This record gives sequence, structure tokens and C-alpha cells, in this order.
Amino acid sequence: MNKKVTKKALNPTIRFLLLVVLFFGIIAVVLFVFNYFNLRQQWSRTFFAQYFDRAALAVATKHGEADVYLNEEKIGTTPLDLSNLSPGTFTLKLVKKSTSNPDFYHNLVFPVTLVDHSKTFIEAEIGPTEQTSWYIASYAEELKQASSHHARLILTSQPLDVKIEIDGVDKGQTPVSLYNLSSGTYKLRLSKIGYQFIETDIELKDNTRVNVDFKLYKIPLDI
Amino acid sequence: MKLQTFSKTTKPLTVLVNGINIVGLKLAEILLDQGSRVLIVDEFTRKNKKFVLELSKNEDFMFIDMAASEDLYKNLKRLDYVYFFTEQLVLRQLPLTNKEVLFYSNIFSAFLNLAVEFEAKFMLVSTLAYRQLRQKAKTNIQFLQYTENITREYRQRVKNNSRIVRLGEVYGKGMDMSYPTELRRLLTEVVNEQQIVIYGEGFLANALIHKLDAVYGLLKAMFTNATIGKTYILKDKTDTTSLNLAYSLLELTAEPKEVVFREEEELEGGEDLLDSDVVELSEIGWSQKIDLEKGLKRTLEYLYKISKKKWVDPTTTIEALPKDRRDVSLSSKDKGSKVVDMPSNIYQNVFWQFLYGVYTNLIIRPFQVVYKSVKYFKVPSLKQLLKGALSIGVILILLAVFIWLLNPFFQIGLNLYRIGQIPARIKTDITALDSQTLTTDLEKMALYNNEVKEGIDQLNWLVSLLPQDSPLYQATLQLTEVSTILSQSLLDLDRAISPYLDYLKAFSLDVEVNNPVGHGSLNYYQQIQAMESNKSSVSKAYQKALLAQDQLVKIDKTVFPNSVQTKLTELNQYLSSYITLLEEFEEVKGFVPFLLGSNQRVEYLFMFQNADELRSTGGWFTNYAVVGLENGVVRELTVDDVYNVEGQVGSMAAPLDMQQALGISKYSFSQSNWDPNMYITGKRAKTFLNKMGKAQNAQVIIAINTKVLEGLLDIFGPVKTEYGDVDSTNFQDLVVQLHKDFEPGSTNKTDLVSEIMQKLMTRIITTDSHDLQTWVKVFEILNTQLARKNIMVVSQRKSLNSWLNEKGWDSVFTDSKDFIFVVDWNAGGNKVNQVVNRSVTVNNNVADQGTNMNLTIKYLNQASSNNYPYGAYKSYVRIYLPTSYKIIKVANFDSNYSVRTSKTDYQEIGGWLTVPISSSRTLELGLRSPTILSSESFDPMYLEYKLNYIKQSGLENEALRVVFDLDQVELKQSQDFILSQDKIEKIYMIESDQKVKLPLRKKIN
Repeated sequence: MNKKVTKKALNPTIRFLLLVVLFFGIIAVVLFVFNYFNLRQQWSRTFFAQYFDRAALAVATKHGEADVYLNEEKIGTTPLDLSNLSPGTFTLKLVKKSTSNPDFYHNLVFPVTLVDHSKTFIEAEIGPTEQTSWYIASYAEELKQASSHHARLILTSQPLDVKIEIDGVDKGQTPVSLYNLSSGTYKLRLSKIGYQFIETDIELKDNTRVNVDFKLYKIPLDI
Repeated sequence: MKLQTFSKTTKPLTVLVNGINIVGLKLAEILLDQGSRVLIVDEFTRKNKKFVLELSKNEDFMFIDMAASEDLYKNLKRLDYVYFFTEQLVLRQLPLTNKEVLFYSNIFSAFLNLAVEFEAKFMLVSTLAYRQLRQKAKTNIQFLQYTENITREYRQRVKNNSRIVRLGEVYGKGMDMSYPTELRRLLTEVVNEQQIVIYGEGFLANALIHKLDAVYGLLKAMFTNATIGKTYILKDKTDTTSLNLAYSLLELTAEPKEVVFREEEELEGGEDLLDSDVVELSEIGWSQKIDLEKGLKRTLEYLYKISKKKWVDPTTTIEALPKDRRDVSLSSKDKGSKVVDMPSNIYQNVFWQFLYGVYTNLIIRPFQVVYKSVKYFKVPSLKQLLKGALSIGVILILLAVFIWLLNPFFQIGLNLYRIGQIPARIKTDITALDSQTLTTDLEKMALYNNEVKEGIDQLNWLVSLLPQDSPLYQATLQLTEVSTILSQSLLDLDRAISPYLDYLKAFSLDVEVNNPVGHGSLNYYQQIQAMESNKSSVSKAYQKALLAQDQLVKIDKTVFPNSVQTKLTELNQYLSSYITLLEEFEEVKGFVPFLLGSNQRVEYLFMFQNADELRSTGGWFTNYAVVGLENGVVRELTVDDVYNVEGQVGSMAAPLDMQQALGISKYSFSQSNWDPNMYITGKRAKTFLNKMGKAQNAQVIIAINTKVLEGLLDIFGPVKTEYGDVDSTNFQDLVVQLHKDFEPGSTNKTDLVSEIMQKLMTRIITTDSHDLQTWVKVFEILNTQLARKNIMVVSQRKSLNSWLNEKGWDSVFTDSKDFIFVVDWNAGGNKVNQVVNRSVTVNNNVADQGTNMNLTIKYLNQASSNNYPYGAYKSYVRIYLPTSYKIIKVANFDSNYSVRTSKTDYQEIGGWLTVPISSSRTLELGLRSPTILSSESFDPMYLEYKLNYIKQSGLENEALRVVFDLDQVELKQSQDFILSQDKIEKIYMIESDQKVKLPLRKKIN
């Protein structure tokens, strides 16, 4: 019967308010810790990554094989199809394999982006100079936003002002972002006077944004 | 005095039973002061004797020994108030014996009866302090319960005027320290011991009251009728835990003490007083007047005094005490005690108190609870288990739901805030040339941006609740799209810019002027190769920025609050600046690695000219320098005098136009800037140097007028030389003097220019990248002087040259179809052109088939002396015009003039002109331009008049007047024109190439 603390009952309103403050205080702390350390992203990149698809990369070169380097680290030889890669933006280098004259060809270097749950496709042709080399790189990103049921297409290029045609319809010049495209497979034609055009099929899905970056082959003036 | 006499009085009579205690004595004192008679009934002990004797000096006071109280019942004549104190009976260490209980019960009953008999007011002064005893005597508490019960019973039965007041433990000056309460124990330890013991966590709550507050309360309770029949509690507003009490006491003593925590012993309990129908005395208006600190201070002062020790008030003197005296460490040497080391001044520092609280409550307490739970474990019933699990489940579900609901808002807010912090960090990273941190920051920005985007994604459910798509939501989505694309752009830019930052950070000068042997340890190959490799990232960054801006302007900003709208407008402006920056970068990215000697040596040929003696590309050619770079490393830094080249190479066959103009067949190195086209001039200078085996790889040729070096001297301060401090004011004079003193083989002038150049370069290179002010000044000077043509650059590399031409930095003047370029070559051997003003007037007559132009070039020689450096101005003047211009009239040259047409795109009219001192001469040309004015301008109603007037390097303060006849044209009023009776004109001060563009229309009569 030894009471250590003689407690006086708190006013019920104050008690309720204290409980509410405590409750939301716990929530605030959890939210802060969760967001401050970006735990969701950390987990998705470490723990969950082993159970889900990570970034993938497919590289193909025309007229011969090429060694593929990602941030100066050799990852294989074309045709190359890799998965379970870390997402991010990297510098991709293609070095043409040539037994006769290895220095003849230009090393084609350009940035590529790899994203989770998606494959980045690259097709390239390596010429003796930068101008006589071309590539096209594309990857799709999933969109979750409510209003983005339709597909989006973003095109960037070297050089600038390349004419974009989708199924024969003029869609402007690069750089361009096209919104509200219906899903389906389209014929994409990229052309500019003085350059070799590129024609390729492109598949668009709802709730995705497809990013296409390409470089055109400059036709030598004396041809 | 006998009791009978004493009580036969007109004064109110108050009896204080067991009244010799701290409260009773003070109460007696007050009542006596108020004119009452006071009778104390208590035991006459040695301890009490001194109080009795002291009070007995007052004739209204009387003491009766409790043992002789029978006399009281018989002889008492008056009784108004009875206070029956119980504290000393309850708190005493020894339990009351049965005999004592009987004795005190009889006394108590007797006074209850007396009060009824005399209709006196009765108060049982009960106590709460028994709860604070470490050793409780059960019978004492039972006696206390008995007195309370009897008082209530009397009230019910006879409706007497009685009340019960339960006092907290009374403390203050005069308190009896023999009771074993927590307060008394702590007080004793503070005053007499070296350590203070805290039992358990020290959570025992102590109900306390200062004696003055107690007396005030008792008086108020007795004299307030509303108290009849009720039980009150009279104590401080809040109870104080033993731990806090200890801290409070420690704060009030300057002596260092150890605080010892001891395990709490299981104390014998006792029955408690009934708590029903008990109210605080504050209900009748009593309030605590003396706070604990104040009360304890007074008490300590008293206790120190009776212990014959000196008490120092630490609240006023603590800072003056030595540190060791202020320190308190918590530890224990006792068996079974916990040793706790605490920081010093713990009792003064709220923070440490808080930490200690966290320590005990969060770390120690749970263990104790678990320990006790195990010790007294009872298997809970299934119902209890389910109830507990349900409660925990509900709380967890609620927490999860709220976290899920609130997280997007929190995520968006926090990450937007973090994105807002990034730009400042980017600026710091760039000025610190820290590419790694820059990359990290930009990656963080992308990460935060992604978080914002995902936060908005998570709010889909909210939007789906709306009847239709919210414009605000749509605009927010668009904004995140802008942000996403922009952060991608920044990441691309980072890839491109990082090698530049790395190079600049690592760059140092390995060679000295005219001493090409460096350490050879520098290697920037990796950075230069990275610049090459990441060129395409610039293009991507640029295009993404364009897309971001395109998306930004499409956003309906009106859906946002005004503050956000303003921010978006600012963002658009920043984006425009960013795009401009990227455009520039896009233009130069292709040739910067080349300029740094990527994979091959590149050499720069600098031609230093003195504009005081005007020549075609700026001034008299005095010195040259060759800077050689290989993969970013400076391998050569040569500075030499033109005369040394002339001495070694001699002269070469002069170009035809030079032969015709100057009447010479050969020309020397110093005359290599004859042609105003820097490309030709550079080539000729290089030919001379190549003959000496120098500048073989000179891909870039730069003409610099001494004005640029003067500007740099202004920024970086004077340079110490053997001729003294050289600054912008004396540099030119010194060079002229050394030139006049030149003798074959002399290197004085070269040494001076070399030294200044080396020191300036060193200062530029060693300028801290954070010193933005200096860098801004340097770039301002370079930018201004490039525009003013005091620096001109040409290159043999096509892409670089076209960029230089676009910038107007190469002095190649044939890029427009309507241009005029007047070039003077001062051949008088003096520097009089410093005081010669040149002004050009173009009088236009607009016709259907073109424009007739009357071009006048007026020279005014303001020199008043023929002595060097002044005298007559003798110049070979060349006027360059498009080949399409028809020359109708040429007048006022000294003698014949020549007209020469280039193979491609210009014609040159050249001839001598001499302007004596204090006089003027005007050259006149009649020209016809075939250009038909067209409506290329912004306003189709207006046609556009275009003329590109080329500035001659080294010539300052030239004015250009463009004049039209008023009867022919109308001009837009908004233009800044001067109107005269029949003319309309506009004047330009030529500070760079002047592109004249005037919207006008032909007048319809």
C-alpha cells in the first residue's frame, strides 16, 4: 500500500488532446524518417530489387561487332542483351571490332539511361568518323499518373531540327515531346536534309513515356 | 494566571491542541497579533519548553500540559476555536501504543465535546505527510483515520461547526527534523551528508506546503462557513517527486554532492485515508503564495544555521564558485546501488534532466517493468489477451492508414523543400570546381524530384474522388513533368561539365615564360578525353531544357496561388538563361577539346599591339607570344620582341596591295598586320615565325591591344618589375620608352612584357574559383574588349572560325551584303591618332532601284604641336565596300587613290590622307547600293534599312551618322532620331561592329 506517485486524473479533454498529439507525433516521426532517408527508394533498390526486374540493355550494331563499354567498363560485345543492371544515366561507348585496322573506326560515345523494369534498346552503326556514325536509343518509363492513360513520346537528336514523321504524319522537329498518343505500333521516320534518314517501328503502350534519342549519319557533301 | 481567569475574557479564545509544531506556533503568533487569546495544549517537553517560554511573554497566551488537561474541561469559561493537530502523532517514528492511542483519543473526544458545548468552531488538522514516510507506523495512521471518522460522525450526529483539513508535509523555518519523511531525509542529507540517496527512480510524490501557506489556509478554512462538514486538502499546487526535490535542493546548495540511486525497498503499507468527498482548499479561494524553491531556500537557510554551517545561495553565486564545487556526480559506493555517471551541473541543465528522464523512462523503466512482470506474472485470460491484441491491432491499423494518407503530402512537401535547397549548392559546387559533389547534388535533385512525382502519383485516389479532372492537379502533373525533364537535362549537363570542372581544378602552369622545360608530371588526358566523350550530353541537356520550357509555358498557371505563379515566371526566366548558356556550350563543345590540344599539340600565337599608333588590326605590332598546349598541359610559353624576329628572319616580298599603297617591295614582321582581315594578317605573321621554326602548329591567332593588359592590371594590381611598379597608368609609357631605347639585341621591352604577362597569367590561374567578383571582372574585360575589337581571334579550324565570325571577334568583314569598313594605317611615325577624331556620315537617298549613299569620312587633328608623339596625321586610308556597290564619286585624298576588287566579295578604295595639326579633312564618296528595301522587319508596313558598320580595332570614339531626307521616308516615331528641317538622322558611337537596322517606309506624296 505504498503509493509512489499520487496521480491526479487529467482533464479528459486534455488527455484526449495529448493522445491525439502523441498519435500524430508518432506518425510525423515515422513519415520524416521514412522520407528523409528515402527508405522506399533504398528498399526498392536493394531488398526488393532481387525479386523484381531491374534495368535491362540490348545493343546491336550494324555491319560488324563492337565492344560495349558502360562508364568505361566493358560489359560485352554486340549483339548484347543484359538484364539486372543498375538504373541511372551512363556513358556508353561502342568500339568497333576490326582486325585489319582498329584505329580506322570512330569510337561512338553517347549517354544512355537505364530505368527499372524497362529495357533500353540501342541500334548503331559505327563509321570512321563521328559524323558518319549513327545510333538510335530508346527506353520506356511507366507512368502512374491518373491523367496519363495515353502514351507519351519524347525525341531528342543530333543534329537538332530533325523532322519527325509518325505513320507518315509530320509531328514537328526535334526536340519534341508528343502527348496523348494511343497505344500501338507506329512507323517512325526521322529525317533531315544532308543526313541519312532512320526508319524504325516503335511500340507505344498506355501509361508509358517512351524516350528516343538518336544521331543521324551525315551524308558526305561530295556524294 | 489561572485558566479560569484566562478564559474569562471578551477576547476570542482559540485552543491549539498538540499546538507546538511549526504551524501551531505560527498560528498562535498570528492569532495573538490579531487580538485573540491562545491556549496551547501539548506535552511539556524540553524541546517545547523554549517555545512556551517565548510565547508566555504575551499575557494573552497560555500553555497547559496535556497530562493536566482535566483542569481544562472544568475551568474553561470560553472557547471559540479549536484546532486539533495530528501531525506529530502520525509522523513520529515510534508507533503509538494502545495506551497512548486511548489517551489521545480521549483528549480528542474531550475537545470535540468542548467545542460542541461552547459552540466553538472545530478543525481537525489532519495530514497527508504520512504517505511520505519511509517507515510507516500502522497504529499512527489508524489513529489519524479514527480522528477523521469521529469528526465526520460528530458532524452528522450533532451538526457541530467542524471541518477537516489535511495538510501536506509542512516545511519551513522551525520545522521538526525528527520525522522520517522523504523531505526531511533529503534536507538532512543535503545539509549534513556528502551524498543524497534516491530510492528507485525517485518517483515518490511528496505533498508539501510551506508553513505560511499552511497557516494562511487553516485560518481561511476556519473562518469560512462554507467549510463546515467538509474535508479539504491543503498543499502545494503540484506534488513534487523525490527526484525533483533532490534536484531542487541540490540547486540550492553550493556544496558538491554525490547522488546515489538505491533500489527501493518494499515498504510496509498502511491503510490510506478515504479520498471520497475531499476537495482542494483552493475551492474557497486559497492559493499557494510561496513556491517550492523559495520555501526550500528559507528552510535550508534555517537548517544550515542551526547546524552552525554557512549557507551560500548558489543561485546568486554559482558562477563565482570554482568548477569542482559546482560539479555533482552521481555514483554510489554502497552495495546494491546503481552507479550512474551524470554530466556536471545536471541539476541546472534542463537538457540533461530531459536526457536523464529519457534514460530512466525509456531504457531502465521497461526492464524493471519486465522484471516485475516476470516476478509477479499472472497468466492473462484469453479475453484479456484478445482485448490487448485487438487494441494493438486497431492502433497499428490506424497508424498505417494515417501514414498512408499523409505520406504523399509529407513526401511532396519535404522533397520540394529539398529541391529548393539544391540550386544554392550547385552554385557552390561549381565555384568550388567540385564535380563529384555536383554530380551527387544533381542526382539528389533527380531523386527528390522522383519522390515528388511519386507522391503526386499516390494522390490518384484523391483525384478519382473528384467529379472531373481537377485543373490544379493537371497543372501540377505538368509541372512535375517539367521538373523531371529539367532534372534529366541537369544530369546530362553534369556529365558534360564535370570534365571541365575537373580540368580547371587540376590545372596548373608547369612551364615558365621562355623556359619550356617543365616537370612533365601534369596529365589531363583523362579530363580532355571525357570532354570529347561527353559532347553529346550537352546536346541532350539543351534539348531537354527546350522541352522543359515548352512544357512550362503550356501550363495553366492561373490555377496556382499568386506566389506559385511568380515562382513559375521566375523559373521560366531561369530556364531561358539556362537555355542560352547551353546554346553557347553547344556551340563551343566541338572545338574546346581541340583548343586544349586534345590528341595533338595546338599553339596560340598572340600578337601584342599598341593602339597609340593605329594600324590595320589595332596598332603597332610590338611583341608576340606563343603558347603551346598538349592535352591541356601548357608545354610552351614564349614571349619575344618583333624586332628580334626581324633581326633573324629579315623581310619578305610585300603583298601587291601593300607594294602599291606603301611603295615598298618588301615588308617586315612588324608590318605583318597590314591587312585588316585578321585571318590574312595572322597567316602572314605565322609565316615569319615559321621561318624561325616557331609557331609551326599555330592554329589560333589572337591580336591583343595593350588596353587589355591595362584592364587586367587594373584588376590584379601593379606588377613589380625592375622598372618599378607597373600598372595601367604607366605601362604604355614604359613600353614606348623602351621601344625608343631599343638597340639590336636588347631584350628590355620583351623582358618587361614577358614578366607582366607571366605574372598576370599566374595571378589569373591562382585566383580562387570562389572569388566570383574577380572572375566576373576578368570575363567582363575579355567580353568587352572582344566586342571593342581590342582582342581579335581567328583560327584555321573551320568550325571554330565560323563561331568566331558569328561572334564578330575575327574582324572578317564580308559576311553581310551592306557593309562599310574604314581602315586607317598611321604611317607618320608618331602617335597623333590619339588626338585625331574620325567621324563617318552616310547620307541615304532611297530610290526604287536601290539606295544612293553619300559617304563622308571626316578627320579632325586636334594636335597643336608637331613634336613627337604629335604632328600631322599621315594615314593610308582604305574603305572596304561590298562588290555590289557602285562607286560614283571619290574625292579629297591627298593624291590618286586606287580601287581594288577582291576575288570574292569586297572592293577596296585606298589612298593617302594627311591631316595637319589643328585642322580637318573630309573624304567624300558617292556610292549606290543595289539593295532594295524589303519588309523583313517585324512590321509589314515598314521596310528595313540595314547597314553593317565595321569597327576598326584600336580606334576609339568614332561616330557614325546615318541620315535620310525627310521628303523621302517616314520613320517610326519610337526610334531615337534627330529631326531637322529636311533631314532625319541617327547617331551611333562605334564601340563595336554596329549593325544598323532601321524600320522605315517611303513617303507617299
